[in-house]
Amino acid sequence: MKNLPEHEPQSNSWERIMQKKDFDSQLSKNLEELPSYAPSDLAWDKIEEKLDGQKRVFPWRTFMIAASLAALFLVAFFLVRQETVQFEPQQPIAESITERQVPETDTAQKTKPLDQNQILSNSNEKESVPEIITQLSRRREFVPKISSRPPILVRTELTVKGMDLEAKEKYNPIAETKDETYHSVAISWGLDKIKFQVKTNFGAQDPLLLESSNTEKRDYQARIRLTPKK
Amino acid sequence: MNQIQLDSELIERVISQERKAQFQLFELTKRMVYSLAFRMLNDEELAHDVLQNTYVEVFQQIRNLKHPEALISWMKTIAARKSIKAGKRQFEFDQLDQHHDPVDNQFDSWFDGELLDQAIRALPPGARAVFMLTAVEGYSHKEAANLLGISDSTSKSQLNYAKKLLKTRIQTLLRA
Repeated sequence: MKNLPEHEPQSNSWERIMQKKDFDSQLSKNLEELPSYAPSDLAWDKIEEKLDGQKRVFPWRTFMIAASLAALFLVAFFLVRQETVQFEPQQPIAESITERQVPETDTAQKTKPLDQNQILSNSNEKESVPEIITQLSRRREFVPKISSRPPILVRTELTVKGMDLEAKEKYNPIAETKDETYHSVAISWGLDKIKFQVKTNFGAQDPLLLESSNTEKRDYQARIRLTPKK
Repeated sequence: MNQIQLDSELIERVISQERKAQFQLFELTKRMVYSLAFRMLNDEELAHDVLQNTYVEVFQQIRNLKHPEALISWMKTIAARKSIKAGKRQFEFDQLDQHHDPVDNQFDSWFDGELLDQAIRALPPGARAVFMLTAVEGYSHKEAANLLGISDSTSKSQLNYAKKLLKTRIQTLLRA
């Protein structure tokens, strides 16, 4: 060993070592050598449980869906069938009524002039026949129940006329409404004159605002803005 | 980390829902999946949940896999998605303007994989997730951003932030 010659490293060896000491180069090298972690021994058992559990549950779900669909179809089928069964016996009644002949004794009366009472009674008899058919063949008509409660008026804006706050120093609203609303009310007033800019869909001016602008142009007014509750 | 080579026959048996093959695949890949989940979440219980859910999904959906040779990367993506879902509450991406630059860029220490692992697990959850996906798992910033539901630029800035923090934490660990 002593007799073996020594070799000189390259002059840039130290620099190359220092380059490897650089954070980014160490990071990229050590990322490949990160330790790996093992899960617990029970992990596979739990996976198997989940796999088997899902296999068992799955057919039940499909079965329940299929059964409920079949039940729905059956109910729908019987409902339709019931309607047709009720309707079919009506046909012979209608036919028998239309084919009914007027008795011969009545023909004698035809020649006689009829007074008003007779006309009315005859007309009642004639009208009573189709009523039987309609009652039997038709289902009960649906009559919607109208609520006794009056409809709620929804107003987006309400202008109170004649509120001269500067002169009266009191809030004395003239216009009052008893209408029940579902709005929160924000009232604001001031000394500034309100500029009337009425915008409607059809170009027509709001009659309330138009009237107030014509009659009380110099009055100070308050505006109540009604905004729907969220 | 070593690359895992999977036999195509094993993959076919897994596709045909053979339980032994499924167990074999689990044994071969469990460390890879669990390490990814554990490093992203830094929580053993959550990582185990992610592991179980990942394998259940893998075994159920493997028949729909178009390229069976890409099974490993597919499994990693599932594990990453599940980890993000499990740790969504803890992943917060702070405004980086608020953070001060931790140290100067000088780094004069040697460190190994073990120390790096400790430093990674000590990172804030958001920066850790970005670092894991981009630096460790090799996802692009766009892919990582899609997975995490953030922008590309956020992903880039979080990676830089994570690297800066790693430098300081490694130096602190070396001094201790």
